[in-house]
Amino acid sequence: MTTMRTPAENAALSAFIDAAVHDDDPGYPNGAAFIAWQETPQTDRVLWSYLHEGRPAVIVGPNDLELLIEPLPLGRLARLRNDIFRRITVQVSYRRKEEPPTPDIPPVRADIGRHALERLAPVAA
Amino acid sequence: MIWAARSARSQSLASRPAGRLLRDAVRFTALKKDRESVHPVAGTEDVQILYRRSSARPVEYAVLLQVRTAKGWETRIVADNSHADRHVDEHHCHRYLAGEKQPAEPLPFEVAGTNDAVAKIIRWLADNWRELT
Repeated sequence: MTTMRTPAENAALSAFIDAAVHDDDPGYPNGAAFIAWQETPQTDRVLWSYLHEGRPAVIVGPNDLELLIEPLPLGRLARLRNDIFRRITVQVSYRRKEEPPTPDIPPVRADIGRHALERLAPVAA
Repeated sequence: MIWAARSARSQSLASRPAGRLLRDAVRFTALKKDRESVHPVAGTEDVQILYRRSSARPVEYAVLLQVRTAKGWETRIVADNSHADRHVDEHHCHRYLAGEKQPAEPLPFEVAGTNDAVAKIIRWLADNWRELT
């Protein structure tokens, strides 16, 4: 049985397969989670759980823009503060598919909560 | 006990010809799976596909279908070409029943090379995760 997917889910699956079959390093951080860019509570929960595992996340939309969210290593005090406020400190960058991170959009450090995509989507628009 | 095991291993290594040791070391380095990524399956929050592969040739890979449980991610099926005693062009899968890895099964489709196998395996797991978990 073929699973029905949205355009963003198809794009995320294709990006994941492309990275898997690339003989050269495709430039994604090791361990990255390829997640469909959809402003839904489910996507936010999935993103949150992977960031909590310490995995970087590649958010893939149906256009050619990808959002890379990487958890940053922190000291003990900062981790405790994040646990209390239920947030994760990350670096956010953008890139076009098949290209290195876009130089004209510098990476941004941010403290994000459980609704990260809702907040970050307007930035990418 | 540990010391005895180490000693036996050292003797085993020492008994190998230098050329074979070097060849094994090169093979181990070359085949190390140095790349990993995951993809949450569409339609659920508790199933993911994970791949690990080597960058260097001959490419070794493993693609896993995993389910989130109270204990963490549990593998239900793994497709790979990684076996010390077989050629890397042998592609097959193993199911897990009650946490036990089952004997190898052939893939349910034809593949033409490693990258073709990886792409088809990922699509197979993504399309059929309900039946396979």
